[in-house]
Order: sequence, then structure tokens, then C-alpha cells
Amino acid sequence: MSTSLSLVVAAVDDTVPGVRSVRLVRPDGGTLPGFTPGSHVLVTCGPPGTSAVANAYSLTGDSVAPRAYTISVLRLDAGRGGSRWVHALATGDRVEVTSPRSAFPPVLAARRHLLVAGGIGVTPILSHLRSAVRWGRDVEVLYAHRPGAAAHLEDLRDLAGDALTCLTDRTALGDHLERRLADQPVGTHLYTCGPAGFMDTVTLAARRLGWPDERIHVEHFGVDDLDPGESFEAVLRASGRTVPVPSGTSLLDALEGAGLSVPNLCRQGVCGECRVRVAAGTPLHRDLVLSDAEKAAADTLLCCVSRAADDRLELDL
Amino acid sequence: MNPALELTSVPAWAVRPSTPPCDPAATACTAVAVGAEAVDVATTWLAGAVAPGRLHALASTDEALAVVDAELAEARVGWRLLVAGPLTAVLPLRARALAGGLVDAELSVATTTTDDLLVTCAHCAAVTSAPTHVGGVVPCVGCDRRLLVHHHVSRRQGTFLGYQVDAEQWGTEQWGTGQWETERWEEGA
Amino acid sequence: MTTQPSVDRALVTGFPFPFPTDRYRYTTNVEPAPRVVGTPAGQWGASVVDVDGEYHRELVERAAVLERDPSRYAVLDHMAPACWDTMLTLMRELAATYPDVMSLDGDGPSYVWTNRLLDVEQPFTYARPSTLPDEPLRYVAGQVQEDLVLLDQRDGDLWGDAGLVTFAADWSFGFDVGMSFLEIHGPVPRLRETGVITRAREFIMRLQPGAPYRRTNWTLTIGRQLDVSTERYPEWGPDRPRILTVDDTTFGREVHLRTEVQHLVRLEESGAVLFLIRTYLLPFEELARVEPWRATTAAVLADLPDDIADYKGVAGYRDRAVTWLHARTP
Ligand code: HEM
Ligand code: FES
Repeated sequence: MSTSLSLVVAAVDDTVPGVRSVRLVRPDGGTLPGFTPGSHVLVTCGPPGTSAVANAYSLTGDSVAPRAYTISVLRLDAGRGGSRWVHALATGDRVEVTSPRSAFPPVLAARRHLLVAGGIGVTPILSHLRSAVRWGRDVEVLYAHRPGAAAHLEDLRDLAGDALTCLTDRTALGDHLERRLADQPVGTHLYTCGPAGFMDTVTLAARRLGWPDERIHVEHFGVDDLDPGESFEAVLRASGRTVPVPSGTSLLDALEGAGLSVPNLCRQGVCGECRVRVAAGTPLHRDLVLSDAEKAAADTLLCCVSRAADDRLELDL
Repeated sequence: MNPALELTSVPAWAVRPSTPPCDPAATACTAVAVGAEAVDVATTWLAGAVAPGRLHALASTDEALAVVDAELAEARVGWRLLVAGPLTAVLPLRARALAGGLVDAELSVATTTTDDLLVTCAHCAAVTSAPTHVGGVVPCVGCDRRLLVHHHVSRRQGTFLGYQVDAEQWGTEQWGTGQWETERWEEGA
Repeated sequence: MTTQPSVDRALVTGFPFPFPTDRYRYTTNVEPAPRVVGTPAGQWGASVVDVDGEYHRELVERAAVLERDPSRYAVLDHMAPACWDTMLTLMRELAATYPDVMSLDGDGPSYVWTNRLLDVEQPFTYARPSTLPDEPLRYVAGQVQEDLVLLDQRDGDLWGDAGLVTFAADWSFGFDVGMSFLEIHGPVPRLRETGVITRAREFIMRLQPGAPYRRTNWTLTIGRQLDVSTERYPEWGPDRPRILTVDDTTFGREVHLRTEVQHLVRLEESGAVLFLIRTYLLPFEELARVEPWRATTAAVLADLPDDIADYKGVAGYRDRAVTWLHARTP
């Protein structure tokens, strides 16, 4: 559902070893869509138009009427190549990003915000901190990083002042975390971003200290999104035609593209309008409408979100 | 024709007395009990807690509200609260605890009786406390209208919604009297 | 019978007729917005906010309702950022939709809002209450005809934690403030059992900024009355038995099909969901002049299950309404 934005690199910053910050702007210099603190964009890590990896990077800058999107990327030499590509960008290069998606927002009703960052996981935490300062929220920041390799340390210091604690040693981190988690006023919410093992440590400690899940927030980088799915072929019974459905295109879009009109409303798998009969093949149901029994019967599917379990689906159309 | 109550904003404990268990994950707990019967419920709740607990036995809702305020000001995350007592006490106590920043998972509610309800008049906003039930009719202490108790409870106000039961009754002075005298029409809202 | 149109033609041509078919049941009827829908009389749906010929009249009425009953406006403390977000979002939307008469200049944090329909030129600074003559949500509610409800998303749920609702169709905003989405819908029959409202909740929780959705809802209202809130039920409730006693001409003039066009917008900065409710009223005498509308409305009303008719408050006079509509078959 995200629209895509074509931006240009306005500046790069390599001050912190291994971490590059990139400032992206509209070619016309205009304002970009605002975003909820903690949001990320998917960056297509390759020349526009190619099928390159898309990586999720948190936005670290101001979230209201932003003139730029800034991301900070840790170079991972063993990764899929996305971070290496970002590290090779130069001023003036074009970059395709999706519009921002929010999956790690601050809880407006929180009485206090405890932000716990590990390494490069500081990026969405920084964005949380900016909004906490803007709205005068009570905030405390714990930042665990390797000695000498702290991205955005100056930004955090400026924004958080005394509310920031930096920790560079594992044992010290464990002790401090335990102490701080045990002593938060009852309306506090906890947010953590960092390597998976780090976030597990933080959430386990919080649960052990009686924190209910409602108060624990972990950055998963948009796992809630429907994945683009595998490509398959839809065969239309009536005409015998075959309609290819590529990954990232819904069956409904593909059918409409082939000139068919299928009743639909929400295009999100909630209204039930786009139900079509399946003559052969196994549907991969991803809607919220059909009952378990209807799904098991496998003779209908909601074509706006559902796909084929294998490479072929025959439809009564 | 009304939906089953468990599918509405009316909590189960607002319909019949209840005794919830304490969350074993708690690192501290407090039970606030209004009335003698509630003390028994609170004692049972605390006995099920793994963490250290405190019991406040109080005679009135006002005293209990003050205790909840004081506890909230001191409490750390990990704490769980039980409010126990007649429905007319626990609804406002729950409202206070939620306004103080608790989430549902941190709050247990136990009712010792649900015979009396608090009803907010939709028309004059007065709150009437009276022996009644969902679907019952009570006279409003503010405007004297006869209020139908709706199957709708506000967690923030801690009351049921009531609205005039006979606004559609033929025979109000505006329309004279006639064959419709006693017939109640379909309910609004 | 008079042949004079009783309402402005634009209210007929722009009326969002809510029935796609002859049968109405509750569904999770959401669709991407905006999108123009053609009708036998005209069209609707071109924008998220809609200013029409009733603009001044409705804003005056909103102010009067608020003056008389301040509980129609409520903002729980934590929703302040969402109110600023709402104001900015609606001003941008209005400026983009009505560039001839409205504009929002500046690119933050300082702006100037201009609305020539109301003779307003208002500079303000985002998130600075002292720069506005009113609280942001109440201020912007004075610029749009829509009622506004703000939903906070937390604890895996949605909460109706702020809003300004002066034109409620038999519900009480003041009572509902602070409730969860499912609690708010508790009074409606069938919604939970059928899964309609839990699906709606899942859907709303996934809503993204920049991709608004909309749905319609409908009921019947006696008289051209926007504020038929539960608060004022003692005043409008007696209209229901009375309408059975009036002659056919009066019946057609007084009974209105009421459509609510409801938009759902994810707000960019606060992450809250803005729910806009825009109310349109069309008297039966006008509705009956558009043949497909007359026929469909008659069919829907005749088929409406008792519990839904009862909930909508039309059970007492729907038979009369059906008969009245049938009698106007060309
Ligand atoms: C996709 C989203 C939604 C769906 C499918 C939905 C569905 C419905 C339906 C079917 C009704 C009954 C209406 C009638 O028969 O007249 C209703 C009533 C209502 N809806 Fe929604 N709704 C949605 C979103 C919302 C939102 C976001 C709000 C805002 C808080 C809201 C507030 C209400 C209220 C206050 C009522 C009246 C309940 C009462 O009688 O007290 N709805 N809704
Ligand atoms: S279009 Fe709504 S479920 Fe597919």
C-alpha cells in the first residue's frame, strides 16, 4: 500500500566509524510527508528500476513537516548488500524509498518513556526522543554501545541531557537495566531497539520484573505488513486464459489488469466483496473474513489479499 | 433484542459478583476493599499473589479513592491493584485507577454485590445510585425523568448510561392521550 | 402537492445514496477514499472533507449545540498532540480541495490558515497553544462540517479518547469518551456476533498515513435535524409516534434518509486515527423523485431485520415509510 518517493542524497556523514548517515530530500526541495516517531522507510538498495534488496531503515530526523528524511546505516559486510550500497552513495544520487510506515510508535497515554537502545538500534530511539522533547514528555534513555562507536551520541546528549545513561560494558548494562526497570513509575512504557539478542535480554528482564506486555514495545521493522508473496498463475475457467500474478501484485490487481471486473471494496481482506470461486488449486488465505471452515474448504478465496499456495490456481471466472 | 452482555461495554463483574485471581507475574500488589465482605475477597486475592501485598480495608468509596490515588503516586511498574466492593464502589475506583495510567492487565476488579447501579442521565448528566439492573427503570435524581438503564458502561465515568424510557410514549402531554397510552416504543440509542 | 423543490438542488445531486443493493446488512464496508461515485442524480465522494451549501448554517448550529452542551467536546490529556495533528491534516485537506477559498501557507512550525468563506486569516505555530484563539480540535471543528472523533491506538486496541461531535445520530459522545472501539459499538446488535466490528478494528489498526478509507452508515431522521443525540432524545423522541399521525405530504417532507459518510485517516505525527462523520439529510419527497433511489429505499426498508430496524429507531414507522414509497411508484 505504500507509495514510493524518489529522493536525492543531499549529504552523507561518515563521522562514526562503520556508520553512515544519509540525508535524503525531494528533488524540488519541498516538504516530505510527516511520520510517527519510530517509523521506518523501505529503501530500495540499488539503482531505481532494478530488483534490488529493500531494507527497512528508521527515520532519525524531525517528524513534523520534514524537509529531509535521515537514516543511519551500519555497514554489514556479510549482509545482503543493502548497507554496502548505502555506504557507496554520493551526494546527488537518486534513492527510491517508500512512504514512512509506523510499527514502533510512542504510546501517547504513557506517563513516562523508558527508551533502551543497543548499538545502531539507536535510530528509532532518537526519533522517539525528539518527540518526547517537543511534547515535554518525561523520558529516560539507556544507550548500550561499544566503546568509541556510538552513533548519534551528540544528538542524544543535546536532547536528553541528564536523562541519558551510556553503557559500554555488558555486566554494567545488565545491572543498570535491572535497577532501572525495577524502579519506574507505574505509567511508564518501555521501548527497545537493537540486535535481536539485546532486545530479548531487555524484554525478558522487564517480564521478570512484572511488566505487562502492554508496556513493552519492540521494534520489529514492520513484520505486520503482508509480505509480497510468491508469483503464480491464475487460470480463468470461462475463457481458458492464464493471468500471471507476480510477487508484490495482488490477484485482484492482476485480474483487473487483465480486463476483468471483480466486485471489491476494501482491497484489504476485511469486507468480503471480492470473493471468487476456486475451481482447482490450493488457495493461500490471508483475509480476515472467511471462517476456518470456509478456508479449509478451499473452494473460494478473497482475491484482494489471498494468493495461491502453489504456482497455479484455477478460478471460476 | 439486545446483544449478549459479554459483547458490550458491560463487564462480567458488573452483572454478577466475582473473585478474580492475582497475576502471578506481579512484583508487588495492593488490595483496596470497601466493606467487610470485600475484605474476604481481597484476602483470598492476596493469598494467591506471589509477591508481597498490602490490604486496605475501607468503609466508603471516597476513602478508597484517596487510597488509590496515594498508591498510584508511589507504585512502580510490576505492581498490581485489586479493587473490591459493591459495584457502586468499584466502578469509580476502576475509573480512577485507569485515569492514573494503569492498563487493564494491572487491575483486578471484584464485586461483592451488583444489586445497586450508578446511572448517568444522558439528558441532565446527574448520576443516580439505585437498586436496579440493565433494562430496569430508575427515576433520575437530577431531572426526575424515568431512565431506562442501557447496556452501556463508561470505564472513564464508572457509570451506566440511562435515557428517558417514555420519550416515545403516546400520552406525554404534548400529544394528548390515546390508544398508545401504555405502549412503549422501540428504544432509542 | 407543491412542485417547488424543498431543498437546494445541490443537496439532491450531491447526496451520497448509501444502498448499493436492495438488501442491507451490517458489513465491514470500507473502501479507499476519495473516489467519485456516480448516482442517478449526480455524484459524491470526490474529497475527504466536503464543504457544501449548508456550510455556514451547520457551523452556526455546531457552535450553538456546543454552547448549550459543552460535553460534545472532550479531549483526554494525552490526546493534545493528536489534536494538533488533526488540525494540520484538515487544513491541508481543505486547502488542497478548495484552493480558491482556503489555503495553508508556511512549511512549519509557523503557518497561516486562510478561509475566505469565514473571513479568517489565522497565523499559528504548531504545538503552541498560545498562538491560536481556541484549542486546536475545537478550532478546526469550526472550519469543517464533519464531526470528529480521535482514536488512540495502544495496548493492541483503539480508544475513543477525544472528539467533537455535535450531530450524533442517537448516541452520546460525552458518555463514550475513553471507551475502546468494541465498547463503543457494544449497543449495536449483530456487530460482534458476525465479526463485522472485530474485522473493522483489525483493519483500522493497520491503517497507514496518506491512505484514507471511508464507509457509509444510514438511518432515518424526522425533520431536518442534525443534532439527534441521545442527550436530546426527550425533544426528538416524540417525533416518532407523531409521524404516524401526519398526512402523506407532511410525511414526505419530514422523514429524511440520513447518510453518514465516515472517513478514517491515520494521522502522521501522533499515529492516532481521525474518524470524520459527515451527515447528509434528504427528505423522502426529494428521494422519491429519483426513481432508483425510491425503489431501492423501499426494498431495503421492507427487508430490514427487526433488530436492526429497532436499533435504528425506525421500527415504529418503517411500514408507513414503505407504503409511502410504494405509493409513489411511477
Ligand atoms: C470500519 C469501521 C466501522 C464500522 C464497520 C462500523 C460499524 C458500525 C455500525 C454497523 C453501526 C450501527 C449503525 C446503525 O445501524 O445505525 C455503528 C454504530 C456506531 N459507530 Fe461504528 N463503525 C466503524 C467505525 C467507527 C468508528 C471509528 C467510530 C468512532 C469512535 C464509530 C462509532 C460508532 C458509534 C458511536 C455508533 C453508535 C453506537 C451506539 O448506538 O451507541 N464507528 N458502527
Ligand atoms: S475487497 Fe474487501 S475483502 Fe477483498
